[in-house]
Amino acid sequence: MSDVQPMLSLRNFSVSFDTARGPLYAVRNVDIDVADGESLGIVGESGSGKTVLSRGAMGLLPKRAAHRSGTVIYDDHDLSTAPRDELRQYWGTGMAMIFQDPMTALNPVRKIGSQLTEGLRVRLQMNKHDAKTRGLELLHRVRIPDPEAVMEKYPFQLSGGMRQRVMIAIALACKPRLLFADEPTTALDVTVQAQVMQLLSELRHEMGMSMVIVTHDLGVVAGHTDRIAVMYAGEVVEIAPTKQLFANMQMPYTEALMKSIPRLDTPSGQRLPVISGRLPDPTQPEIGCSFASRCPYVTDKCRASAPPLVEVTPGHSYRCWFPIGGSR
Amino acid sequence: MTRALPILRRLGALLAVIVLSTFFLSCLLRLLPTDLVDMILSMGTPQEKAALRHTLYLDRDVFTSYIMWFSHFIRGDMGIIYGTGGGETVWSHVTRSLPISLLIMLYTQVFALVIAVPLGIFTAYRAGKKSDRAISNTLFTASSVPNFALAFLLIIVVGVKLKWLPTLEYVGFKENPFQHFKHLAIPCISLGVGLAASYTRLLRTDVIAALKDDYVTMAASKGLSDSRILLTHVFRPASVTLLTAAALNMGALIGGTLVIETIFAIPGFGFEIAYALGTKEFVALQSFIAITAIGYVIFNVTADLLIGVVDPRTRGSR
Repeated sequence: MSDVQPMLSLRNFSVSFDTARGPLYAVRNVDIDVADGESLGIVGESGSGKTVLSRGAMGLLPKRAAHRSGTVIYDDHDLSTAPRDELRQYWGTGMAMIFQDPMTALNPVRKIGSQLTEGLRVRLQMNKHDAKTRGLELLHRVRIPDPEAVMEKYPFQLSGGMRQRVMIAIALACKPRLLFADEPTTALDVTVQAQVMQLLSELRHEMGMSMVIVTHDLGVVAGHTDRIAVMYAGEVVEIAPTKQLFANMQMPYTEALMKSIPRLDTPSGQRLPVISGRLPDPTQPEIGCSFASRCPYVTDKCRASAPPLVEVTPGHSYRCWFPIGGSR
Repeated sequence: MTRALPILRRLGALLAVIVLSTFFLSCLLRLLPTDLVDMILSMGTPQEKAALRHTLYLDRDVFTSYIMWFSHFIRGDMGIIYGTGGGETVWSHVTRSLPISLLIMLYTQVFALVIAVPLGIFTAYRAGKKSDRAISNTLFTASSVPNFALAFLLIIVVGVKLKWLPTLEYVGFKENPFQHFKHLAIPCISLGVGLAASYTRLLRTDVIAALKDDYVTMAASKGLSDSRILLTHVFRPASVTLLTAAALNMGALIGGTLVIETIFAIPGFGFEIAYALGTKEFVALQSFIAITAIGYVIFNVTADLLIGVVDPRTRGSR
């Protein structure tokens, strides 16, 4: 995977926002590659910087508020220095995004049909009839019953699951090569979550596209990704092929995340383990390991100096002085 | 059916508002400090006074006289202008003056919106930048000038000094369209500048709020241009407050035309109201104010219906 040119490559990528208390570092020095056709999961708790990372990589953050540094290479094009007009050429047709809440991400006052065919007409110069035909195909493909009627409806007239399917159809309308799915199932019922993830996986294989799934739920990405990057306080703290991560996690934070997933075989009435404490203040520079204040295995060394991200076995990197497996 | 029902309900409410407001108005006539009949026929004989009292339904109880008055009112029988010796009916004054004022209000609104919509969107898009601050501050200054003061300023500069535009009288559209607009330019601009400023600020605020919404980021992620996003995705949801304000301002404009029509000697509805007030034509005034109230209600219902068109979420729930 590493010898071919990746489709998306982030190097030393950071994003900061200006706040009253000084710059807030939401994403810090991230290096991530997404290969052609690969599905990458980005996992972390709220505030870990995963949404800012995905929006920042695509260039969707407001320029004035968000300061980006480092490089973003998409398909041999450096997006970090590209003006917005150039970025726009890749949006929709090259990179597309699915948003967390389909209620707020669909325009409340425009019909589904016009929102769906808009990209086709503006970006692919399709005429009205062709765009409508393609729109109906897309709705059919994301398993929306009675696409003709849905084209004439407004977002508030659809259920949450339907809205999310519509959003997937909109994002995929111009056949992007890379899809960012930002918490694609968080706003949905558990039963619908599985269906939507299944649909996304199917579509990825069908269209041969790459996908970056951003979520706080390791369970969601487990069966649908090739690799997983775990983020904490704006940094990637562990990255590994999915199977390897689940079988042989090294970073205590990954372990803590895993333990906080409810399992069928836990006896009922037992309390779910929680990660105590909270994320460090992103406006203050960290001296030691960013997870030190919450880590059950913390030592003086962890508080004194930050561990680097080291690739220990091929494809498996993590940031920890005293990994769980004890291989370092 | 499902679409017609809310509209019917709206119309029912509209009728109730009109009946209530005109009823209170007719009660007010009885609360005048002096007797209306004595005022009109100050030197009349008791027989003449009794006859007039009967004509004005003042010899009945409040409810009967209201029903009598209202049933004549809606048929256009609004009595006579007593100051003219009974030669002219109130209705003839209404049909002559109301269209003029409605035109002035319409032109003023169009003028204000034509300025406010592009400026509101532009200043929101450039919020906080120099161009936004320059435009916003200029409009704020302009909106703090009362419209009659602006009218005098325009009369002196554009009318008297530069002699570009006439400053008095009214020319009908059918008589001479060009002169018609020329004569109404200064009045409508004086009325419209303040409106344009407040509309711009309303729209700017709503567009700034809408620009922060997820669906704007979503629209951007499709690769649409900023101008397309602003016009097709942002303007429509952001224009709801503007529409409501425009409708409510129709009511305020009735007061505005009263002043402006007096300044420019335009024989419009505001001019008639001012005249009726000055000459104590309370019979005519009752009908004038009733028409104003009905107009106000109609403008509000129109705004609600328009908002339903613009924002489908509100259909049926208003």
